[in-house]
Amino acid sequence: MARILTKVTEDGDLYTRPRQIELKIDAMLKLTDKKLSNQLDIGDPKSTAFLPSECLVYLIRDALRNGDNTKLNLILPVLLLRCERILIRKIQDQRITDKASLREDILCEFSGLFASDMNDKKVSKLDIFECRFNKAFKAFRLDKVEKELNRINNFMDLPQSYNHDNKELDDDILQHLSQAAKVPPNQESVLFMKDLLNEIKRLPPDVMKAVTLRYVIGFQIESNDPDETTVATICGCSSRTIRNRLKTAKTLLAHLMEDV
Amino acid sequence: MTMTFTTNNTTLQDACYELSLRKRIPDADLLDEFVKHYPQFSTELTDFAISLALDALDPMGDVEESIKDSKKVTPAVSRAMSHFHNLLHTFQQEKSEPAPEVKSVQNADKEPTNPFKNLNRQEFREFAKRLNVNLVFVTKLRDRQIDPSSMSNGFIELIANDLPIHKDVLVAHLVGAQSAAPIARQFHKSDEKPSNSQQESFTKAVKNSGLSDEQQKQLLRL
Repeated sequence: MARILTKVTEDGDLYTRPRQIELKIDAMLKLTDKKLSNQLDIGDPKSTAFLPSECLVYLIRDALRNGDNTKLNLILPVLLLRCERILIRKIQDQRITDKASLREDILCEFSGLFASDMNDKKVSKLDIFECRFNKAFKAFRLDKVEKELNRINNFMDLPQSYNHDNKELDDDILQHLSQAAKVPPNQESVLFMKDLLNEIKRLPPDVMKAVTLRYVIGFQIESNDPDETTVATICGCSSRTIRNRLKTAKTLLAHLMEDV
Repeated sequence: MTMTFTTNNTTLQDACYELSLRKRIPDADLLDEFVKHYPQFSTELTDFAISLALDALDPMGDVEESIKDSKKVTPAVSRAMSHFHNLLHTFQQEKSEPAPEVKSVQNADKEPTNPFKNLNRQEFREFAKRLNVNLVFVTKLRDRQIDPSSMSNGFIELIANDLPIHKDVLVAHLVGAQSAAPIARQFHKSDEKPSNSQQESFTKAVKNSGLSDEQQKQLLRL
């Protein structure tokens, strides 16, 4: 039977694996190395015999605890390959010039979590990866990408200022974001959405922040209620400044509308 | 945007993980709730929520793709495995008794000083950046996969000055036995022990490391 997780949520409850993951783990623990190896060959997530990454994390940790190097060296590369595929697909930001190095760094740091897992008994960092692997790995990846972008931003020129006085702007371009946050884009709008996201990531950081807080996360720009959190209170500036930043975004993104 | 996600900051890490589990795209109410719960991390959580939200909008999504050769070991996977084993070994060493002083002295007699030994990963990356080369190339250099006799004096001096170490110490390391260096073991499919015969010439290493034309020219000019 799969070992109970030790990590607790903010409410003090223990993290638990989904039932189907528990069942898969129990089944895998009974397999010989040969049969496990055969099962690891299945790379199609739609196959019923496919081993979810949550199970792989469990089995790797189990092999580490038991000193089973054969199993460890069998399973860990499979999980790392899956992670690499995710990183190749998801790290597309054009500001990052050396994507391969960043991917490699993230993979190394991730593999390091397993090495330190046995060493650091107080913090079960990997428990969450046994519950919802993709979400946990996303959080892990985003942190590393963010750090890299911070480093790059330190070397970037300050953005030029924009004069909006004579420009007539509409909300259409940014409303696409609000819409996409509510409903996943259809096939026709996938390419446009991809372009839009790429452009948004290239906006000056304070502009990108205002756009995302307003149009994706959904904060109001300002409020009469002094206790309400708004884009202006989060960014620590006036609502006028926020409006200017949003106008800047619309100006910089306007060319995308020509293709729609 | 600043976000620290270190081992000393487990609560922030936990909060970020929890936030990512709650909703595909965090909304204003959810982020507000988290910021009120962890006021000390309000900036970091907001930055993380922004990253999370933009990532979730990616139309490529989080759909797991099918992998044809699920056991294929790519160079990145191989290096991550190597990193894992090195780290595991370090932790196991820390747990066990410290090695006797004499042993390290004996090893020092046999093995030339490794000038790359004290560079952590970040420093190693910075070293590559200062040289204006990629990690593939400096890893080849570190792992003695480049024939030192084919290197120009200018190149050796550049490396020695950067590390900084005496030129002779660097050369002594580069001509040392290749098996002593952490080469990517997983790629060695032969039954025989890896040997220096696998070394590339400097020119070949420059050309086969994925360097840009400009980077190649710069190195070959040295």
